[in-house]
Formats: sequence, structure tokens, C-alpha cells
Amino acid sequence: MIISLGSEPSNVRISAVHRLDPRVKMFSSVILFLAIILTPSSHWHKFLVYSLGIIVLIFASHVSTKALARKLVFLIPLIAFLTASVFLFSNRSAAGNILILWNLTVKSVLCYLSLALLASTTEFYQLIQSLEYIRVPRVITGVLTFAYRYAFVLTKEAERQRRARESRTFGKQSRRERVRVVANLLPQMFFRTLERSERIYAAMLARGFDCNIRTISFFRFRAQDVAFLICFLIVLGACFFIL
Amino acid sequence: MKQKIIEVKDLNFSYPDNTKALKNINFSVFQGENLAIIGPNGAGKSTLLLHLNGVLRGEGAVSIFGEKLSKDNIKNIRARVGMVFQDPNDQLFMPTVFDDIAFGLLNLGMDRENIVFKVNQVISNLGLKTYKKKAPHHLSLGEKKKVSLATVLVLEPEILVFDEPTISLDPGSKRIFMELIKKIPKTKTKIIATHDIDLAWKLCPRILLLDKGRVITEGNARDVLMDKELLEAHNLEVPPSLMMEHSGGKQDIRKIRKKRPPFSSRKIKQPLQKGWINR
Repeated sequence: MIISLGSEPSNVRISAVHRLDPRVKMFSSVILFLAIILTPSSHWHKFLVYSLGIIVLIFASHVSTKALARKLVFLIPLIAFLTASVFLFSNRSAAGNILILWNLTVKSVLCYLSLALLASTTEFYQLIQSLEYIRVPRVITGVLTFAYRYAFVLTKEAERQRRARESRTFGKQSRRERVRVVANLLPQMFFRTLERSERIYAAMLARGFDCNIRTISFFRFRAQDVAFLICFLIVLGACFFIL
Repeated sequence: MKQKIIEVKDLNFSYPDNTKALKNINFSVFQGENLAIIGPNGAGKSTLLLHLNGVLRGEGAVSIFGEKLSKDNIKNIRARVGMVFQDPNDQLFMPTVFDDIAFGLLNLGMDRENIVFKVNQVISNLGLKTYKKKAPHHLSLGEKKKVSLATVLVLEPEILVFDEPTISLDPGSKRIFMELIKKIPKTKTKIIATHDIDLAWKLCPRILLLDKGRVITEGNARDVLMDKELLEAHNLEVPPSLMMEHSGGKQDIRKIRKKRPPFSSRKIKQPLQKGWINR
């Protein structure tokens, strides 16, 4: 996953990229996605410039390249599916299929890398607040915030259930038995989640919640944010329109 | 004479599965009073607390500051009755400690500058500066409890309601949390639901004993908590600190400490018998 749960880094090395305004990072990422998607597959030199730009940003942000490479593994099933679809269902020649596959692979890898870079250099709740700035409905951002906050609580709860099950499991279990146990645990998890959601809602009501999620943000544009945005747009524009 | 600020009359409540959680509850709380609601697990303590700021509504009347709880005054009453929940994971739902503390103020419609000022003030009063930007799930249970208290104190409520405030805390964290509760101004009314009888004895002069959804007894803390038979009949125990105080145990220990010389300087009157080591 792009944002890995349960292992949220709390002491990452803060770089200039981390310090950029999250809205600037979000906007730049969206523009970069559009540029990557709209670039024709034959313009390989443009893809080279995009890749170089992303690599420079990765090094500037001190993000672990190993961690990013590990995240790329999640793309393998998608690429495998695309390859199978292209070769099985397309009527084009082999060369045409390879060109389509190259186009899809390069674009998805570049988009995925830039998204992973954004997620690695911006705290989750800052991303959510940036989404609020671009007028994503508060209901959606609220659901995302709660999902992220309680994913940690629920993974811990699931872990406790797993330990309790293992402590009462003697000998080796067959795959079928394990599936049965997990199937029994899932409804329990569901009911515990439901009960917790009711308690959380009660806690929200107790502090005056009226079904409108309000947040307070401390974002402000600084000179370096403006400078980064201008440089980014100039380089991307030159690459997209002139090269 | 002190003003009666909470009045519960003939309160009955059943959960949707028809479990009768509260049966004919009657009691009053006066301004500045510390009341402990004690009782075994499943007595209905938490359910009763949830009625005090209208999160749950049963049959009967709950009046806060002389006003009967209704849809029209609920917002106002919730701002005046702050509730600290049993599990801090239920209370801390925002992405950072700062956001969690600011949540109630934002709902009150306060302006940004005031919110920042008030939140920072509470954070510094409770010694939470280092946690300000942290996500609640990165905190220990004791820290989460402190932040939960901050989320309520920032609203400056006149009534503070605590649901099992020291449950699952280690002795050190429990002591710290009790000290924090003691530091809350005496003008504020505190209601503490707990089965930690020691906590009830140390913080509350008045006790309400609840079991199976009914008020069993109500009265002075010493009278209720010294009634061993009554407490044991409801799965509770006389607090060790009260027992010690009553039996003069504290004094005896002091006497022993004063009278007994350090071990190294004590003379052994009877020498050990020969060959004792071989026996």
C-alpha cells in the first residue's frame, strides 16, 4: 500500500520537500499526473525527463529508496493483469501490443512513484486538509480521517484476537480449519467495530458535534513554496510543450 | 445554601435489546460537589452518565442547571457538562492531539485565535507540549487519559463527568491522574463513576451505590464505604486506605518506624543455636 498502516514513521528525517506546503505538493502531483497521462507513448524522452525529476525529488526528500521500491511491488499484479489483457484481447500486431504495454507500464509506474513520494513526505492528515482545500466534500475527508485513525486501533484488536486464538490452538491446523476460525473472527471484529463506532459517536456528541466536521489548519504559503511551484511549472511546461 | 445543579427523577432506560439498564433512578447533585457513583460491572454507571449530557435519553426527567434536558437546550448543556470517557480511544478520534483538543471549541463556533490560545493554555497546564502534534495512537494509555481530560477541560465546563477514570492505569499513572482531578477548581462539580473504591474514597465525600440499574444507597462516603456487608453484597470491597485509617494502622506503622532501630544496629538477644545450619 502507498500509505502503510501499523508502521507509520514517527521520526522521519525532515527535508525541504517535507517542509513544502502540502497544498503545493498536492497541486504539483495532480499536474504531474495529468502531464504523464497526456504524454503520447512515443515521446519517450519526455518520460525520461519526468523520471529524472521524480528521482531528483526522491533523493532531495531523503525518502528510503528501498521502501519506495517495496511499495512498487504492489504494482506487479496490476501490470500482470494489463499484460494478460493486452495480449489476450487485443487484435493488434505484437509490436502494437508492446507499445500499448510500454505506455501503460511507464505511466502507471511514474504516477505510482510520484504518489508514493507525496505520501512519504506529507503527513496523512495534511493530505486530508489539502483535499479539503480543493473542495473535496467534508464527508469524504471525514470518513478518510476516521478510517486512518481507527485502522491502527482495529489492527491492534485483530492482533489481540489472533494471539488469543493461537494461545488456544494446539498442534498444526489444516488450512480448512484456519479459514473456519478466521471466518468466525470476522463477524466478531465487525460487531466490535460497530460497538466502538457507537461509543465514538457518543464521545463526539458529548463535545457538541452536530454532524458538521470542522477542522483548523495552519497552512500558509512561504517564499520557498512559491519558488518551488514556479520552478516546477516552468520545467514541466517546457518538457510537455517544447521538448 | 448550595444550588442544586443536577436533578434526576424517576429515570428508566432500556437498551434496544430490552435490557433494562436503569430502573427508577432518583438523585441530586449540588454545585461544587464531588459525587462518586460506585457499583460492580454492569451496574448501569456508564449508562447513567450518558444521560447527564443527553447522549442517551430515557423515560423520566433529567434537569441540569434547573432546565429539563430537551432538543432545544442540548447544545448549551453539552458545553456545560464535560465528559471523560472510559476508553480514551473512543474519545480521541482526530488526527492529532491539538485537533482533538480543539474539536469541542470548533463545534462551539469559537474563532480561530481564541481556539489556538485556549488549546495551547490547556496543553501547557497539563504538560502536554511534547504531544501537541502527535497522533493519539502513538501515545501510552496514561498520556491518552491526560489528553482526554484536556479535550474536556478546554471547554471549561461547570460539571465534569468521569467514567472509570483510572481503569487499566498503572499505579504511577493512576496517582498522576488523581492529582490532576484534585487540581481542578473546587467550584466545578465532579461526578466520578468507578468501581475503584479507593479512588472514590480519596476524591469524593458523597457516594451513590448503584447495582443492577437501581440506586442501592446514597450517602456520606465514610458511612457507605465502611459498610463491609453492603459492599460485599454488591461485589465491592472496603478500600484498604479507609480500613487502615479506621483501624489506626497508619499510626501503628509510624510508631514501628520510629521505635525500631535500623537492622544493622539491632542487637540479637538470643544467639543462634549451634548447628542450626545443618538442620
